[in-house]
Amino acid sequence: MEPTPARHPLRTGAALIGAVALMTACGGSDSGESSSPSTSSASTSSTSSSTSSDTPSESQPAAEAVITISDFEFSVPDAVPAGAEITVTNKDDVGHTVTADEGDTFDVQIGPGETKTFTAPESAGEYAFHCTPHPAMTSTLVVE
Amino acid sequence: MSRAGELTLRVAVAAALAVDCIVHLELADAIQLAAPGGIGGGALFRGQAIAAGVAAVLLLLTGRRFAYILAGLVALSAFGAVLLYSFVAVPAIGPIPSMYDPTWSDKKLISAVAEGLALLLAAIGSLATRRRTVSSRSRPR
Repeated sequence: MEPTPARHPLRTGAALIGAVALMTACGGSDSGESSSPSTSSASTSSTSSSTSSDTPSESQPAAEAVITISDFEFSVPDAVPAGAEITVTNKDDVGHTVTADEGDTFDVQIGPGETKTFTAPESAGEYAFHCTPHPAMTSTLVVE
Repeated sequence: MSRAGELTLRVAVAAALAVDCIVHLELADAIQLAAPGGIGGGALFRGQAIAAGVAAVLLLLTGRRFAYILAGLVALSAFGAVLLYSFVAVPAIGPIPSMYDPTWSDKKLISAVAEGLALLLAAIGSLATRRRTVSSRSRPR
């Protein structure tokens, strides 16, 4: 006797269950479980927590202020907004600092390969800074 | 070399080592920021400062050949290190951190000059005292 669909309830049941499962999966894809791309890309580098900001990264502003240290030279943006969070990345194999020439406006120590953040001064102006262990390394931070 | 000449040489070497000692002490905290790994650049600088200070005092007190040789070795270690780490990116070696620094500050330059001078003068002093030792031994009793 040849088998008929009625004689294979297991197969029919499995097919129905699979169809229901498929429909359920398709209907539940917009339940909000995907990660926010802004948060996942904001903190890819390690951040030390000594004197720098420890607040979790939220959505980054469009123009991110970054100072890069490479080959014993500072690369600074043209200008940063007053009070902006500035990220300092040290690409050298030795430690450096970003130390304001006058007063204690900012003084950040960045170990080899580290990344840290600090807050730009609230007052607009030009702030000359240097590296403490390497005084020949100098630059200026322009705050608008 | 006359006694006055040897005394002058002795004071000059000690003075150069004193400069080396003082500068290394002043820069120890800063170099620790730059070279925090291993035993730390600060510890190395303070060790160098102590060695230079001890060698200077020993030379001033004794004026002996071994003191000149010790002073020369201390000066050589510092002078060699500053030149090496200024021109070669030496990586960390065991407990000694990477201290590569191609920049030259005023203090670094002064220290390097003092170390070179100490090395040169200590070498002269070790030769001068050697001759004095030989001549004293050849004197009839």
